[in-house]
Amino acid sequence: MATTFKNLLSTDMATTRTLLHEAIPITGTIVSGTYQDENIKYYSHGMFESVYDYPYLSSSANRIFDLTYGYASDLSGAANPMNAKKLNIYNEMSLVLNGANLEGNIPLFDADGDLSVTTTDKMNACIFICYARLLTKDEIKKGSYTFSYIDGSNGLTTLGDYGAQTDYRVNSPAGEYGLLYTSSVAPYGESYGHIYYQAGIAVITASNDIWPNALQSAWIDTNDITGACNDVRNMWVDNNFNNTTELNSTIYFCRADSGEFNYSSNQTYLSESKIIVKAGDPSNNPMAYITTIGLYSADNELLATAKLSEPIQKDPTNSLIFRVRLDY
Amino acid sequence: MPLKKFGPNDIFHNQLEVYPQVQFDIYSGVVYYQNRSIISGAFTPSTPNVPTGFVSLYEMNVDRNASETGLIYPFVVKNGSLSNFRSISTDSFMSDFQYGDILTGSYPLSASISRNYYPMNSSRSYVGALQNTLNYYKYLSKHYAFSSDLGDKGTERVNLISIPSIIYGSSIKKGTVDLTFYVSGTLIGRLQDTARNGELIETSGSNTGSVAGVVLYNEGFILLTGSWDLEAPGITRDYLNSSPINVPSSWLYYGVGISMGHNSTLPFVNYRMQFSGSNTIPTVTMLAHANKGELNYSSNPTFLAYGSTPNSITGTYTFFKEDPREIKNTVLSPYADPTASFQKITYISKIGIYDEDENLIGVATVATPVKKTLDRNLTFKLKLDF
Repeated sequence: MATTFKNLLSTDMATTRTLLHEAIPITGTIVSGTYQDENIKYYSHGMFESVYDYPYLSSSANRIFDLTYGYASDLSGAANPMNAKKLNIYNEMSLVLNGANLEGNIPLFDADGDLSVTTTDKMNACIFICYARLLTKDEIKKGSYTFSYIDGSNGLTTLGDYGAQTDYRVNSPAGEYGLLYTSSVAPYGESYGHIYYQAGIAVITASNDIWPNALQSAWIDTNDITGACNDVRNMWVDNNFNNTTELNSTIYFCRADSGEFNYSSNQTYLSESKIIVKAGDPSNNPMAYITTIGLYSADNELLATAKLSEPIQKDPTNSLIFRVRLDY
Repeated sequence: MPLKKFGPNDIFHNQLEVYPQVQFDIYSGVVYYQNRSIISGAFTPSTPNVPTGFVSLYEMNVDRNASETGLIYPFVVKNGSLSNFRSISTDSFMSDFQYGDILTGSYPLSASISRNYYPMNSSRSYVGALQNTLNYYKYLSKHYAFSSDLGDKGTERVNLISIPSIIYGSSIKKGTVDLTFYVSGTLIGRLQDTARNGELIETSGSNTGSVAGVVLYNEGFILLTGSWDLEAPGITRDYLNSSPINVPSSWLYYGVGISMGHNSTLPFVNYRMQFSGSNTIPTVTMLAHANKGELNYSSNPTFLAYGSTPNSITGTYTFFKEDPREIKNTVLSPYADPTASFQKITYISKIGIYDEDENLIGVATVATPVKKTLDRNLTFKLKLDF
């Protein structure tokens, strides 16, 4: 129990923010092949499938993303498999990620993110990759996202949010998003999708020649959603991004000036009413060893303690500043 | 959005005490935690990428390796906040890295029990570091004393088992420690803290009623000093990996095989360690009331009938008057026409918790939207664990 308190001034306190990142690789070996799809959870509704990093019946498995496909009403066809569900998926995603327009209608995904100007770059069929919060944490780091797949027509295709550190869009109700390009060199050219950083969702066009034409049409009128998702998984080569966790800290600078904290109320400080560290000579300087710093409320309630890895000697000849950091 | 203030009887602060049971089995040099067997993965010998008996913090790199799947790893950029990983020393942080450099850590971070055996008069920094702590608990039992007429833990043979706090939480629950020692499936000794004072008393074995060691409940250590023979005289085993000089079974060799260079593959000998952890979880329970006549209007655009848009005529000399807007009638009618009588009905799907400055600090989402009519009283019970 402390008997000596020192008030912290406003200049003794500072707040900082640290961004902790994690590098997340999702290779094709995880997404398809290795586990004979035992790490893929299919649902009876068939509207999406969940991909785990290990066979999902194991308690060790983590869900890493959901995969689904949808298209807009202009591709609708009564004979298409799961037509209504493909429309619902697209509309739901668009409403969440684009929001309704001024007329209250659901807009189409726009490749360059400008919903009002251009009309020729609409993504009217899309693949949606909804990453688990376990992987995206607070948000995906801008400029770190790449997604690679391989197909028989185009070979290896890599999409990335190149240049998004400084060039990203803010007109989504779901937060900031970057555009996905195939070229990593500015000017990046045409965009083929979006990566929503805070929502942790990648939207990739499925109506563009970056996919084989036969696949594009098969996803619309031959395959159900699961079939389309399985095609994407089987072409999956690599996917990398960095996530971000925001750590907020308060730093307290606890100052022990030369004339302060040189005595202790610890019982071991005295022996026979004499200060032990003076070694019997009253003219010697007092001395204390600081081991713990307590942070108290205005009502002198102990809120937190900070421990030193080793006691620090304090006497009138020195002045110390302890930097106490509290992370939230 | 309507805001409503919590009343004095609407918020409760509680503490939830939980006692998760823990079991370790040690056999043939392998530690098993909670009866989990070794599961080999496609890319690692043991999923989730830590040996059996270990706990993996975050459990991020499940069945991953560096070459085929890549490993998830954390990193920070060195900046003015001076944030750093513990694996990088302060000296290295200051001298080896420039501001803007990337500091990387690694996953998985794992923890498990460990064992240290100290022969007579050997150097023992770990036990020495516990001297003050052991002496502090002398008020519970004299067996805690570092040095007394019962023995000197600074010189006598000591078997120290360390349990990391991620296993037990705040402390080990008193009275739950149970150590059993088997040879060829036969129980030769059992220690329990039946007195709940930290003394490990032999409840089965050759010296029933004797104290073979102590438990540091808050710190997560078990010190065993009981050196009597647990088996019949003359039976010795190669606990110390020093065959042909074998030693009789005693509590000093309990846990041989836990991460130490003794004979980890000693056949026919296995150990079971059981205890309960103790964790205090502060909880806040909030009662959010939607009384009769309240919360029957929504600012959601779908609350209004389709096409019920306001006139938006504006101009320098224009008089603007908003037309009445029709609320969608959602009352179920058995007939398509006429519709049922209109009622103000909302469907509550979310409850936001705001601080005194009206900052949104939490959102509770109900499993299915709850119908709220004018004559219905609803109370939502929200529970927040910390």
